[in-house]
Amino acid sequence: MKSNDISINETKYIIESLKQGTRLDGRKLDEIRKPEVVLGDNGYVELGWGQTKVVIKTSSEIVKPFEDRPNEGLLVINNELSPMASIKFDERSVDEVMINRIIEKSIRKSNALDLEGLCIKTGEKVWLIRVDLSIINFDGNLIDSCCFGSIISLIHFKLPNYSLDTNGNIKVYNLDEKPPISLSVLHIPITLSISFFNPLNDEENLKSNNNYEISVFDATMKEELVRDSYLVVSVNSNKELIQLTKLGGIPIDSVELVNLCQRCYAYAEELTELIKTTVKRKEEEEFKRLNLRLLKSVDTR
Amino acid sequence: MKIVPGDALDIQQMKTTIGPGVYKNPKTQNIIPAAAGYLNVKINKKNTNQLAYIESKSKRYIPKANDFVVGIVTGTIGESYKVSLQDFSANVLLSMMAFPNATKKNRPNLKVGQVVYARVSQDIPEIDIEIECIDPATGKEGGFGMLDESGYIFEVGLNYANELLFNPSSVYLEKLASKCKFEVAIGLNGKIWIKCGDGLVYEEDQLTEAGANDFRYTLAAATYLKKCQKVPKSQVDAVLKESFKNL
Repeated sequence: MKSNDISINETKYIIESLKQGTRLDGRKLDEIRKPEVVLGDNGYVELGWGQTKVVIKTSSEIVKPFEDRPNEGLLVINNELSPMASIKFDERSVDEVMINRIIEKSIRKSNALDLEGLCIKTGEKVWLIRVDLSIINFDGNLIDSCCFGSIISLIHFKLPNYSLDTNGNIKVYNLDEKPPISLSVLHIPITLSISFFNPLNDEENLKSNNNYEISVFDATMKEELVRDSYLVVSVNSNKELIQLTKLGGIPIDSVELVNLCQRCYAYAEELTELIKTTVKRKEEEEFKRLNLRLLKSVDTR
Repeated sequence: MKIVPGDALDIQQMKTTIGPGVYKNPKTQNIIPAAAGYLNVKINKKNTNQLAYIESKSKRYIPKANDFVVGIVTGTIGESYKVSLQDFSANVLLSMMAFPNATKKNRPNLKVGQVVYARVSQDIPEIDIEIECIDPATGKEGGFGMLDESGYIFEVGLNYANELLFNPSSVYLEKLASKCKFEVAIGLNGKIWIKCGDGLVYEEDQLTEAGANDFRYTLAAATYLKKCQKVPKSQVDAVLKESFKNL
Protein backbone atom coordinates (compact mmCIF):
# COMPACT_ATOMS: atom_id res chain seq x y z
CA MET A 1 0.00 0.00 0.00
CA LYS A 2 2.71 2.43 0.94
CA SER A 3 4.99 3.16 -1.97
CA ASN A 4 6.30 6.01 -3.97
CA ASP A 5 4.49 6.38 -7.23
CA ILE A 6 5.39 8.65 -10.03
CA SER A 7 2.82 10.48 -12.08
CA ILE A 8 2.59 10.35 -15.87
CA ASN A 9 3.33 14.08 -15.89
CA GLU A 10 6.65 13.73 -14.12
CA THR A 11 7.64 10.76 -16.28
CA LYS A 12 6.91 12.72 -19.44
CA TYR A 13 8.85 15.74 -18.30
CA ILE A 14 11.86 13.69 -17.18
CA ILE A 15 12.04 11.81 -20.49
CA GLU A 16 11.49 14.95 -22.55
CA SER A 17 14.22 16.88 -20.80
CA LEU A 18 16.61 13.94 -21.19
CA LYS A 19 15.83 13.89 -24.90
CA GLN A 20 16.82 17.53 -25.04
CA GLY A 21 20.08 16.77 -23.28
CA THR A 22 19.44 18.36 -19.90
CA ARG A 23 17.98 17.19 -16.63
CA LEU A 24 15.38 18.58 -14.31
CA ASP A 25 17.98 19.72 -11.78
CA GLY A 26 19.97 21.51 -14.49
CA ARG A 27 22.81 18.99 -14.79
CA LYS A 28 24.12 17.60 -18.05
CA LEU A 29 23.45 13.94 -18.84
CA ASP A 30 26.93 12.79 -17.87
CA GLU A 31 27.36 15.13 -14.92
CA ILE A 32 27.46 13.83 -11.37
CA ARG A 33 26.43 15.75 -8.29
CA LYS A 34 29.48 17.16 -6.56
CA PRO A 35 30.09 15.24 -3.35
CA GLU A 36 30.51 17.24 -0.17
CA VAL A 37 32.79 15.56 2.32
CA VAL A 38 33.16 16.48 5.98
CA LEU A 39 35.78 14.53 7.88
CA GLY A 40 35.41 14.15 11.62
CA ASP A 41 37.31 12.11 14.17
CA ASN A 42 39.30 9.03 13.26
CA GLY A 43 37.42 7.33 10.41
CA TYR A 44 34.26 9.40 10.71
CA VAL A 45 32.93 10.79 7.43
CA GLU A 46 29.81 12.74 6.58
CA LEU A 47 29.05 12.59 2.90
CA GLY A 48 26.51 14.67 1.06
CA TRP A 49 25.86 13.47 -2.47
CA GLY A 50 23.24 15.98 -3.57
CA GLN A 51 20.37 15.37 -1.20
CA THR A 52 21.55 11.84 -0.42
CA LYS A 53 23.33 11.93 2.93
CA VAL A 54 25.46 9.12 4.31
CA VAL A 55 27.41 8.92 7.56
CA ILE A 56 30.30 6.46 7.67
CA LYS A 57 32.40 5.34 10.63
CA THR A 58 35.30 2.92 10.53
CA SER A 59 36.37 1.11 13.69
CA SER A 60 38.74 -1.69 14.59
CA GLU A 61 38.98 -4.59 17.01
CA ILE A 62 41.25 -7.58 17.56
CA VAL A 63 39.80 -10.98 16.65
CA LYS A 64 40.87 -14.52 15.81
CA PRO A 65 41.37 -15.01 12.05
CA PHE A 66 39.60 -17.60 9.95
CA GLU A 67 41.40 -20.94 10.01
CA ASP A 68 41.87 -21.16 6.27
CA ARG A 69 43.41 -17.68 6.15
CA PRO A 70 45.47 -17.45 9.32
CA ASN A 71 47.53 -14.42 8.30
CA GLU A 72 44.82 -12.16 6.90
CA GLY A 73 42.89 -9.48 8.70
CA LEU A 74 39.16 -9.01 8.20
CA LEU A 75 37.18 -6.24 6.56
CA VAL A 76 33.49 -6.04 7.32
CA ILE A 77 31.25 -3.54 5.59
CA ASN A 78 27.99 -3.09 7.40
CA ASN A 79 25.18 -1.22 5.76
CA GLU A 80 22.07 -0.05 7.48
CA LEU A 81 19.19 1.19 5.41
CA SER A 82 16.90 2.68 7.98
CA PRO A 83 13.39 3.91 7.28
CA MET A 84 14.62 7.29 8.50
CA ALA A 85 16.32 7.80 5.12
CA SER A 86 13.17 7.01 3.23
CA ILE A 87 10.14 4.92 4.16
CA LYS A 88 11.02 2.97 1.04
CA PHE A 89 13.45 1.02 3.23
CA ASP A 90 10.87 0.04 5.82
CA GLU A 91 11.27 -3.65 5.06
CA ARG A 92 14.60 -5.25 4.37
CA SER A 93 14.73 -4.79 0.66
CA VAL A 94 16.60 -6.15 -2.32
CA ASP A 95 18.37 -2.80 -2.54
CA GLU A 96 20.21 -3.36 0.70
CA VAL A 97 21.60 -6.71 -0.45
CA MET A 98 22.45 -5.22 -3.84
CA ILE A 99 24.35 -2.30 -2.35
CA ASN A 100 26.27 -4.52 0.05
CA ARG A 101 27.27 -6.91 -2.72
CA ILE A 102 28.51 -4.15 -4.98
CA ILE A 103 30.51 -2.49 -2.20
CA GLU A 104 32.01 -5.88 -1.31
CA LYS A 105 32.89 -6.48 -4.93
CA SER A 106 34.43 -3.10 -5.50
CA ILE A 107 36.35 -2.68 -2.23
CA ARG A 108 36.94 -6.01 -0.54
CA LYS A 109 37.27 -8.33 -3.50
CA SER A 110 39.41 -5.86 -5.45
CA ASN A 111 41.97 -5.99 -2.65
CA ALA A 112 41.77 -2.27 -2.09
CA LEU A 113 42.77 -2.87 1.51
CA ASP A 114 45.93 -4.86 2.23
CA LEU A 115 44.53 -7.50 4.57
CA GLU A 116 47.84 -9.24 5.25
CA GLY A 117 49.12 -6.05 6.82
CA LEU A 118 46.42 -6.39 9.45
CA CYS A 119 47.86 -9.60 10.89
CA ILE A 120 49.26 -9.29 14.42
CA LYS A 121 50.09 -12.90 15.22
CA THR A 122 49.53 -15.63 12.62
CA GLY A 123 46.56 -17.83 13.35
CA GLU A 124 45.80 -16.11 16.64
CA LYS A 125 45.23 -12.42 16.38
CA VAL A 126 44.35 -10.10 13.54
CA TRP A 127 42.66 -6.72 13.20
CA LEU A 128 39.07 -6.59 12.12
CA ILE A 129 38.19 -3.39 10.32
CA ARG A 130 34.51 -2.56 10.38
CA VAL A 131 32.93 0.09 8.17
CA ASP A 132 29.46 1.14 9.29
CA LEU A 133 27.30 3.02 6.85
CA SER A 134 24.14 4.81 7.93
CA ILE A 135 21.98 6.46 5.34
CA ILE A 136 20.42 9.63 6.68
CA ASN A 137 18.58 10.87 3.64
CA PHE A 138 17.79 9.29 0.30
CA ASP A 139 17.69 11.00 -3.06
CA GLY A 140 18.91 8.31 -5.40
CA ASN A 141 22.24 6.75 -6.14
CA LEU A 142 23.03 4.98 -2.88
CA ILE A 143 25.59 2.70 -4.52
CA ASP A 144 27.96 5.46 -5.64
CA SER A 145 27.70 7.43 -2.43
CA CYS A 146 28.17 4.37 -0.17
CA CYS A 147 31.23 3.13 -2.08
CA PHE A 148 32.76 6.59 -2.18
CA GLY A 149 32.09 7.14 1.52
CA SER A 150 33.51 3.76 2.56
CA ILE A 151 36.79 4.28 0.75
CA ILE A 152 37.29 7.79 2.17
CA SER A 153 36.54 6.46 5.61
CA LEU A 154 39.14 3.70 5.18
CA ILE A 155 41.76 6.19 4.03
CA HIS A 156 40.91 8.58 6.83
CA PHE A 157 40.98 5.84 9.48
CA LYS A 158 44.08 5.24 11.60
CA LEU A 159 44.78 2.01 13.42
CA PRO A 160 46.09 2.33 17.00
CA ASN A 161 49.75 1.46 17.39
CA TYR A 162 50.57 -1.78 19.21
CA SER A 163 53.52 -3.85 20.32
CA LEU A 164 54.08 -7.52 21.04
CA ASP A 165 56.21 -8.48 24.04
CA THR A 166 58.25 -11.70 24.32
CA ASN A 167 55.38 -13.61 25.96
CA GLY A 168 53.15 -12.84 23.04
CA ASN A 169 50.98 -10.30 24.86
CA ILE A 170 49.70 -7.41 22.84
CA LYS A 171 49.81 -3.90 24.13
CA VAL A 172 47.63 -1.43 22.27
CA TYR A 173 48.65 2.19 22.73
CA ASN A 174 46.38 5.13 23.14
CA LEU A 175 46.30 7.59 20.30
CA ASP A 176 48.29 10.11 22.42
CA GLU A 177 50.95 7.64 23.52
CA LYS A 178 52.17 6.59 20.12
CA PRO A 179 51.13 7.95 16.72
CA PRO A 180 48.52 5.71 15.08
CA ILE A 181 49.15 4.03 11.73
CA SER A 182 47.23 4.55 8.50
CA LEU A 183 45.75 1.51 6.80
CA SER A 184 47.53 0.49 3.64
CA VAL A 185 45.02 1.21 0.91
CA LEU A 186 46.49 -0.20 -2.30
CA HIS A 187 44.24 1.57 -4.77
CA ILE A 188 41.12 3.72 -4.65
CA PRO A 189 38.11 2.12 -6.34
CA ILE A 190 35.48 4.57 -7.55
CA THR A 191 32.03 3.18 -8.30
CA LEU A 192 29.70 4.97 -10.69
CA SER A 193 26.23 3.97 -11.74
CA ILE A 194 24.72 4.80 -15.08
CA SER A 195 20.99 4.70 -15.73
CA PHE A 196 19.45 3.95 -19.11
CA PHE A 197 16.25 5.39 -20.44
CA ASN A 198 14.44 4.22 -23.50
CA PRO A 199 12.25 6.99 -24.86
CA LEU A 200 10.77 4.68 -27.49
CA ASN A 201 9.05 1.40 -26.77
CA ASP A 202 10.96 -1.79 -26.02
CA GLU A 203 10.34 -3.40 -29.41
CA GLU A 204 12.02 -0.55 -31.20
CA ASN A 205 15.03 -1.11 -29.06
CA LEU A 206 15.33 -4.81 -29.88
CA LYS A 207 14.47 -4.72 -33.56
CA SER A 208 15.85 -1.57 -35.09
CA ASN A 209 19.49 -0.78 -35.59
CA ASN A 210 19.16 2.68 -34.17
CA ASN A 211 20.07 3.14 -30.57
CA TYR A 212 17.95 5.75 -29.00
CA GLU A 213 18.56 4.84 -25.40
CA ILE A 214 19.82 7.65 -23.23
CA SER A 215 22.50 7.05 -20.62
CA VAL A 216 22.59 9.20 -17.54
CA PHE A 217 25.14 9.37 -14.72
CA ASP A 218 24.16 9.66 -11.08
CA ALA A 219 20.36 9.42 -11.19
CA THR A 220 18.17 11.13 -8.60
CA MET A 221 15.32 9.34 -6.85
CA LYS A 222 12.73 10.39 -9.44
CA GLU A 223 14.99 9.34 -12.29
CA GLU A 224 15.56 5.99 -10.62
CA LEU A 225 11.80 5.45 -10.63
CA VAL A 226 11.58 6.08 -14.37
CA ARG A 227 14.74 4.36 -15.65
CA ASP A 228 14.62 1.15 -17.66
CA SER A 229 17.86 -0.39 -16.47
CA TYR A 230 21.17 0.51 -14.96
CA LEU A 231 24.82 -0.35 -15.02
CA VAL A 232 27.33 -0.13 -12.19
CA VAL A 233 31.00 0.28 -13.03
CA SER A 234 33.92 0.36 -10.59
CA VAL A 235 37.21 1.72 -11.84
CA ASN A 236 40.29 3.30 -10.34
CA SER A 237 42.56 6.09 -11.46
CA ASN A 238 45.07 3.56 -12.89
CA LYS A 239 42.48 2.90 -15.59
CA GLU A 240 41.72 -0.54 -14.23
CA LEU A 241 38.20 -1.89 -14.51
CA ILE A 242 37.33 -3.54 -11.20
CA GLN A 243 33.79 -4.70 -11.69
CA LEU A 244 30.84 -4.20 -13.97
CA THR A 245 27.28 -5.10 -13.06
CA LYS A 246 24.23 -4.92 -15.25
CA LEU A 247 21.18 -6.82 -14.12
CA GLY A 248 18.82 -7.27 -17.06
CA GLY A 249 16.84 -4.43 -18.53
CA ILE A 250 17.25 -3.02 -21.99
CA PRO A 251 20.25 -4.11 -24.09
CA ILE A 252 22.93 -1.53 -24.73
CA ASP A 253 25.43 -0.99 -27.47
CA SER A 254 28.97 -2.30 -26.94
CA VAL A 255 30.57 0.88 -28.31
CA GLU A 256 28.43 2.88 -25.90
CA LEU A 257 29.66 0.70 -23.05
CA VAL A 258 33.29 1.46 -23.87
CA ASN A 259 32.53 5.17 -24.11
CA LEU A 260 30.81 5.11 -20.73
CA CYS A 261 33.79 3.36 -19.15
CA GLN A 262 36.08 6.02 -20.60
CA ARG A 263 33.91 8.69 -18.99
CA CYS A 264 34.12 6.76 -15.72
CA TYR A 265 37.91 6.85 -15.81
CA ALA A 266 37.80 10.63 -16.06
CA TYR A 267 35.50 10.79 -13.05
CA ALA A 268 37.68 8.33 -11.15
CA GLU A 269 40.63 10.65 -11.53
CA GLU A 270 38.60 13.65 -10.45
CA LEU A 271 37.13 11.92 -7.40
CA THR A 272 40.44 10.31 -6.37
CA GLU A 273 42.00 13.77 -6.42
CA LEU A 274 39.12 15.06 -4.28
CA ILE A 275 39.63 12.28 -1.73
CA LYS A 276 43.35 12.87 -1.55
CA THR A 277 43.11 16.63 -1.08
CA THR A 278 40.34 16.38 1.53
CA VAL A 279 42.18 13.81 3.62
CA LYS A 280 45.44 15.74 3.31
CA ARG A 281 43.82 19.00 4.41
CA LYS A 282 42.26 17.26 7.41
CA GLU A 283 45.61 15.73 8.38
CA GLU A 284 47.35 19.08 8.23
CA GLU A 285 44.64 20.61 10.40
CA GLU A 286 44.98 17.81 12.88
CA PHE A 287 48.74 18.16 12.90
CA LYS A 288 48.47 21.88 13.60
CA ARG A 289 46.04 21.26 16.43
CA LEU A 290 48.29 18.64 18.04
CA ASN A 291 51.31 20.89 17.69
CA LEU A 292 49.49 23.72 19.39
CA ARG A 293 48.55 21.42 22.23
CA LEU A 294 52.16 20.33 22.58
CA LEU A 295 53.28 23.96 22.62
CA LYS A 296 50.67 24.76 25.26
CA SER A 297 51.80 21.92 27.51
CA VAL A 298 55.39 23.12 27.16
CA ASP A 299 54.21 26.58 28.03
CA THR A 300 52.53 25.53 31.28
CA ARG A 301 55.51 23.55 32.48
CA MET B 1 4.47 35.36 17.85
CA LYS B 2 6.60 32.24 18.02
CA ILE B 3 5.19 29.38 20.04
CA VAL B 4 6.18 25.80 20.91
CA PRO B 5 4.21 22.91 22.44
CA GLY B 6 4.18 23.33 26.21
CA ASP B 7 3.73 27.09 26.07
CA ALA B 8 0.46 28.56 27.31
CA LEU B 9 -1.77 29.67 24.45
CA ASP B 10 -2.07 33.33 25.28
CA ILE B 11 -5.33 34.35 23.65
CA GLN B 12 -8.52 36.13 24.74
CA GLN B 13 -11.48 34.24 26.14
CA MET B 14 -14.15 34.17 23.49
CA LYS B 15 -15.72 31.79 21.04
CA THR B 16 -12.72 30.29 19.26
CA THR B 17 -12.37 28.37 16.03
CA ILE B 18 -9.20 26.30 16.11
CA GLY B 19 -7.07 25.68 13.06
CA PRO B 20 -3.98 23.59 12.36
CA GLY B 21 -1.44 23.25 15.19
CA VAL B 22 -3.93 23.93 17.97
CA TYR B 23 -5.39 21.07 20.04
CA LYS B 24 -8.38 20.95 22.33
CA ASN B 25 -8.16 18.66 25.32
CA PRO B 26 -11.49 16.80 25.25
CA LYS B 27 -11.67 16.44 29.05
CA THR B 28 -10.82 19.92 30.25
CA GLN B 29 -11.82 21.77 27.05
CA ASN B 30 -8.55 23.73 27.26
CA ILE B 31 -6.82 24.62 24.04
CA ILE B 32 -3.07 24.16 23.82
CA PRO B 33 -0.44 24.50 21.08
CA ALA B 34 0.47 21.21 19.38
CA ALA B 35 3.06 22.48 16.89
CA ALA B 36 6.08 24.77 16.92
CA GLY B 37 5.70 27.85 14.75
CA TYR B 38 4.03 31.22 14.43
CA LEU B 39 0.75 31.79 16.24
CA ASN B 40 -1.88 33.62 14.21
CA VAL B 41 -5.05 34.96 15.83
CA LYS B 42 -7.74 36.61 13.75
CA ILE B 43 -10.63 38.32 15.54
CA ASN B 44 -13.77 39.25 13.60
CA LYS B 45 -15.02 42.83 13.38
CA LYS B 46 -17.76 42.47 15.96
CA ASN B 47 -15.24 41.15 18.47
CA THR B 48 -17.34 38.06 19.13
CA ASN B 49 -15.22 35.21 17.89
CA GLN B 50 -11.71 34.45 16.78
CA LEU B 51 -9.68 32.04 14.72
CA ALA B 52 -6.41 30.65 16.11
CA TYR B 53 -3.89 28.55 14.23
CA ILE B 54 -0.17 27.87 14.24
CA GLU B 55 1.82 28.16 11.06
CA SER B 56 4.61 25.61 11.18
CA LYS B 57 7.01 24.01 8.78
CA SER B 58 6.09 20.44 8.17
CA LYS B 59 6.54 17.89 5.44
CA ARG B 60 4.06 15.15 6.34
CA TYR B 61 0.55 15.82 5.14
CA ILE B 62 -2.39 14.75 7.28
CA PRO B 63 -5.67 15.07 5.33
CA LYS B 64 -8.31 17.40 6.79
CA ALA B 65 -11.84 17.81 5.48
CA ASN B 66 -12.24 20.56 2.85
CA ASP B 67 -8.52 20.67 1.98
CA PHE B 68 -7.73 21.03 -1.71
CA VAL B 69 -5.28 18.37 -2.81
CA VAL B 70 -3.39 17.18 -5.88
CA GLY B 71 -3.24 13.38 -5.97
CA ILE B 72 -1.81 10.68 -8.21
CA VAL B 73 -4.07 7.78 -9.21
CA THR B 74 -2.35 4.52 -8.22
CA GLY B 75 -5.03 1.91 -8.86
CA THR B 76 -8.65 0.95 -8.41
CA ILE B 77 -10.60 -0.85 -5.68
CA GLY B 78 -14.16 -1.76 -6.67
CA GLU B 79 -16.02 1.44 -7.41
CA SER B 80 -13.20 3.73 -6.28
CA TYR B 81 -9.81 4.92 -7.37
CA LYS B 82 -6.85 4.68 -5.02
CA VAL B 83 -5.11 8.04 -4.90
CA SER B 84 -1.72 8.83 -3.39
CA LEU B 85 -1.47 12.28 -1.82
CA GLN B 86 2.14 11.94 -0.69
CA ASP B 87 4.86 9.35 -1.13
CA PHE B 88 4.67 6.56 1.45
CA SER B 89 1.46 7.68 3.09
CA ALA B 90 -1.75 5.66 3.07
CA ASN B 91 -3.75 5.98 -0.13
CA VAL B 92 -7.07 7.79 -0.07
CA LEU B 93 -10.20 6.82 -1.98
CA LEU B 94 -11.83 8.72 -4.83
CA SER B 95 -15.23 7.24 -5.61
CA MET B 96 -16.08 6.95 -9.28
CA MET B 97 -19.41 8.54 -8.36
CA ALA B 98 -17.68 11.61 -6.90
CA PHE B 99 -17.52 13.37 -10.25
CA PRO B 100 -20.11 15.76 -11.67
CA ASN B 101 -22.76 13.98 -13.74
CA ALA B 102 -21.28 10.55 -12.99
CA THR B 103 -23.62 7.58 -13.10
CA LYS B 104 -23.10 3.82 -12.97
CA LYS B 105 -22.90 3.80 -16.75
CA ASN B 106 -21.18 7.12 -17.30
CA ARG B 107 -17.97 6.77 -15.32
CA PRO B 108 -14.85 8.85 -15.49
CA ASN B 109 -11.92 7.04 -17.06
CA LEU B 110 -8.70 7.65 -15.14
CA LYS B 111 -5.47 5.76 -15.77
CA VAL B 112 -2.80 4.87 -13.23
CA GLY B 113 -0.34 7.75 -12.96
CA GLN B 114 -2.80 10.47 -13.90
CA VAL B 115 -3.25 13.42 -11.62
CA VAL B 116 -6.45 14.80 -10.12
CA TYR B 117 -7.33 17.97 -8.24
CA ALA B 118 -9.84 17.19 -5.52
CA ARG B 119 -11.31 18.18 -2.18
CA VAL B 120 -11.04 16.03 0.95
CA SER B 121 -14.66 15.14 1.71
CA GLN B 122 -14.23 12.89 4.73
CA ASP B 123 -11.34 12.72 7.15
CA ILE B 124 -12.24 10.18 9.85
CA PRO B 125 -8.85 8.63 10.63
CA GLU B 126 -10.26 5.20 11.56
CA ILE B 127 -11.64 4.53 8.08
CA ASP B 128 -10.30 5.26 4.60
CA ILE B 129 -10.12 8.95 3.84
CA GLU B 130 -12.20 10.04 0.87
CA ILE B 131 -11.77 12.81 -1.67
CA GLU B 132 -14.17 14.08 -4.34
CA CYS B 133 -14.02 16.08 -7.54
CA ILE B 134 -17.27 18.02 -7.06
CA ASP B 135 -17.72 21.53 -5.77
CA PRO B 136 -20.16 20.94 -2.88
CA ALA B 137 -21.76 24.37 -3.22
CA THR B 138 -22.86 24.02 -6.84
CA GLY B 139 -22.63 20.28 -7.49
CA LYS B 140 -20.58 21.09 -10.58
CA GLU B 141 -16.95 20.72 -11.56
CA GLY B 142 -15.77 23.95 -9.93
CA GLY B 143 -12.16 23.56 -11.02
CA PHE B 144 -11.77 20.03 -9.72
CA GLY B 145 -11.16 16.96 -11.82
CA MET B 146 -8.39 15.45 -13.90
CA LEU B 147 -5.34 17.61 -14.50
CA ASP B 148 -4.03 17.07 -18.02
CA GLU B 149 -0.76 15.34 -18.79
CA SER B 150 0.89 18.30 -20.44
CA GLY B 151 1.56 20.01 -17.10
CA TYR B 152 4.39 19.32 -14.67
CA ILE B 153 3.96 18.37 -11.03
CA PHE B 154 6.45 18.96 -8.24
CA GLU B 155 6.60 19.03 -4.47
CA VAL B 156 7.00 21.92 -2.02
CA GLY B 157 6.71 22.38 1.74
CA LEU B 158 3.20 22.30 3.21
CA ASN B 159 3.34 25.79 4.70
CA TYR B 160 4.50 27.23 1.39
CA ALA B 161 1.65 25.55 -0.47
CA ASN B 162 -0.71 27.01 2.12
CA GLU B 163 0.75 30.47 1.58
CA LEU B 164 0.46 30.24 -2.21
CA LEU B 165 -3.13 29.06 -2.08
CA PHE B 166 -4.61 31.23 0.66
CA ASN B 167 -2.56 34.37 1.06
CA PRO B 168 -4.02 36.95 -1.36
CA SER B 169 -1.09 39.29 -0.77
CA SER B 170 1.50 36.65 -1.65
CA VAL B 171 3.73 37.98 -4.42
CA TYR B 172 5.15 34.75 -5.86
CA LEU B 173 2.49 33.91 -8.42
CA GLU B 174 1.90 37.53 -9.38
CA LYS B 175 5.56 37.97 -10.20
CA LEU B 176 5.55 34.74 -12.20
CA ALA B 177 2.63 36.09 -14.22
CA SER B 178 4.84 38.91 -15.46
CA LYS B 179 7.04 36.32 -17.24
CA CYS B 180 4.57 33.89 -18.73
CA LYS B 181 1.01 32.73 -19.05
CA PHE B 182 0.29 29.78 -16.79
CA GLU B 183 -2.32 27.55 -15.26
CA VAL B 184 -1.70 26.22 -11.78
CA ALA B 185 -3.32 23.85 -9.27
CA ILE B 186 -1.97 24.01 -5.74
CA GLY B 187 -2.61 21.12 -3.37
CA LEU B 188 -2.34 21.57 0.37
CA ASN B 189 -0.55 18.21 0.38
CA GLY B 190 2.48 20.05 -1.03
CA LYS B 191 2.04 19.01 -4.65
CA ILE B 192 1.75 21.69 -7.29
CA TRP B 193 0.67 21.13 -10.87
CA ILE B 194 1.70 23.85 -13.29
CA LYS B 195 1.43 24.39 -17.02
CA CYS B 196 2.75 27.38 -18.93
CA GLY B 197 1.02 28.06 -22.22
CA ASP B 198 -0.18 24.72 -23.52
CA GLY B 199 2.54 22.69 -21.78
CA LEU B 200 4.08 19.61 -23.32
CA VAL B 201 2.19 19.05 -26.59
CA TYR B 202 3.00 16.27 -29.03
CA GLU B 203 1.82 15.99 -32.60
CA GLU B 204 2.30 12.49 -34.04
CA ASP B 205 4.92 11.69 -31.41
CA GLN B 206 6.89 14.82 -32.28
CA LEU B 207 7.19 17.70 -29.89
CA THR B 208 5.83 20.82 -31.55
CA GLU B 209 7.88 23.99 -31.54
CA ALA B 210 5.41 25.76 -29.29
CA GLY B 211 5.41 22.65 -27.09
CA ALA B 212 9.19 22.78 -26.69
CA ASN B 213 8.98 26.42 -25.74
CA ASP B 214 6.16 25.91 -23.23
CA PHE B 215 8.02 22.91 -21.82
CA ARG B 216 11.03 25.08 -21.00
CA TYR B 217 8.85 27.81 -19.51
CA THR B 218 7.01 25.27 -17.36
CA LEU B 219 10.24 23.89 -15.95
CA ALA B 220 11.57 27.41 -15.33
CA ALA B 221 8.36 28.32 -13.50
CA ALA B 222 8.63 25.16 -11.37
CA THR B 223 12.25 25.94 -10.53
CA TYR B 224 11.30 29.49 -9.57
CA LEU B 225 8.46 28.38 -7.28
CA LYS B 226 10.63 25.71 -5.66
CA LYS B 227 13.50 28.11 -5.03
CA CYS B 228 11.25 30.84 -3.64
CA GLN B 229 10.39 28.83 -0.56
CA LYS B 230 13.98 29.11 0.63
CA VAL B 231 14.75 32.80 0.02
CA PRO B 232 13.63 36.02 1.73
CA LYS B 233 11.11 38.19 -0.10
CA SER B 234 13.75 40.71 -1.15
CA GLN B 235 15.47 38.12 -3.34
CA VAL B 236 12.38 36.86 -5.17
CA ASP B 237 13.04 39.12 -8.17
CA ALA B 238 16.58 37.84 -8.48
CA VAL B 239 15.40 34.23 -8.36
CA LEU B 240 12.80 34.97 -11.02
CA LYS B 241 15.42 36.48 -13.28
CA GLU B 242 17.84 33.61 -12.70
CA SER B 243 15.21 30.92 -13.40
CA PHE B 244 14.14 32.51 -16.67
CA LYS B 245 17.55 33.68 -17.83
CA ASN B 246 17.96 31.18 -20.67
CA LEU B 247 14.58 31.88 -22.22
